[in-house]
Amino acid sequence: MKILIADDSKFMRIKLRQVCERTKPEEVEEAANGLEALQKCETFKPDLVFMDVTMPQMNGVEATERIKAKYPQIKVVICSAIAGTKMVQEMLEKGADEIIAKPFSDDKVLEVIDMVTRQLQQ
Amino acid sequence: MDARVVNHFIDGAKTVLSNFKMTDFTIGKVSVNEDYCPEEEVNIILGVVGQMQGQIVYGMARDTSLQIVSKMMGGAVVTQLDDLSLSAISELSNMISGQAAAGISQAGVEINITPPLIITGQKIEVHTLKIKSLNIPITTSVGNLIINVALEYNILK
Repeated sequence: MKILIADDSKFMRIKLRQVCERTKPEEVEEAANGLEALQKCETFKPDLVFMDVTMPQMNGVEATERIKAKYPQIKVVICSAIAGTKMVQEMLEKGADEIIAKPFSDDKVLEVIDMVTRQLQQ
Repeated sequence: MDARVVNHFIDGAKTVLSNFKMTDFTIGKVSVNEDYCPEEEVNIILGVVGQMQGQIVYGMARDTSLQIVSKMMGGAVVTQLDDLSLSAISELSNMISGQAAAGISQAGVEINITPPLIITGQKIEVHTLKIKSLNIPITTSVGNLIINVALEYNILK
């Protein structure tokens, strides 16, 4: 599986990457904002995107909407500290598949990756 | 300012600090500030927009910030506030504020937070909004963390 991590926090990108790499994915890429995430969906073609909400240049809401419109097969998992707000609700309406609330446990991330892996195998 | 919002920040701080294995902390007495001016060496400022507006300031000593980052990185030795450390400490404030924002939104007041801005240095003067704010002092095993919350209902929303 190819995983893209979109978060403006370098710390969060590293932390998520460490957990993702435990599942031995094909490749993990990073994006520092929604626009970069959108561009990397074109070039990197991920199976799964971990998407932050509040990011500069393009936030997670717009990025999710654009990614899902163009690449509906890509799974988008919201990874945000503001789970439960209107913005996150909007992302779900735009097609986001799952939410992970920050601060997250490693187990929760692994559980979501496992779930997406199983969905992709079906 | 609606003092009830403070509880959401206290809950957020408890959740986030505990997640990073900082379970040994106490929440001090909340106090009112008429004109808050941060005095700490490391300050993180987040804006709040929506049905409430204002700002949240997190302040701490440099050494405290380094030790908090160390805890967030699983005990790694952290000696300077480099890109990664600054990213970690701003994420801590982002997560506490995000938890609070989610709690406030679930109570029916829709708010969002803006990305954090970090200001470091000694003898700096940061003049914040001239609105009444509430100070939440938190004593942890690695030093003190102050959360200053200045939020007002947005009458335009």
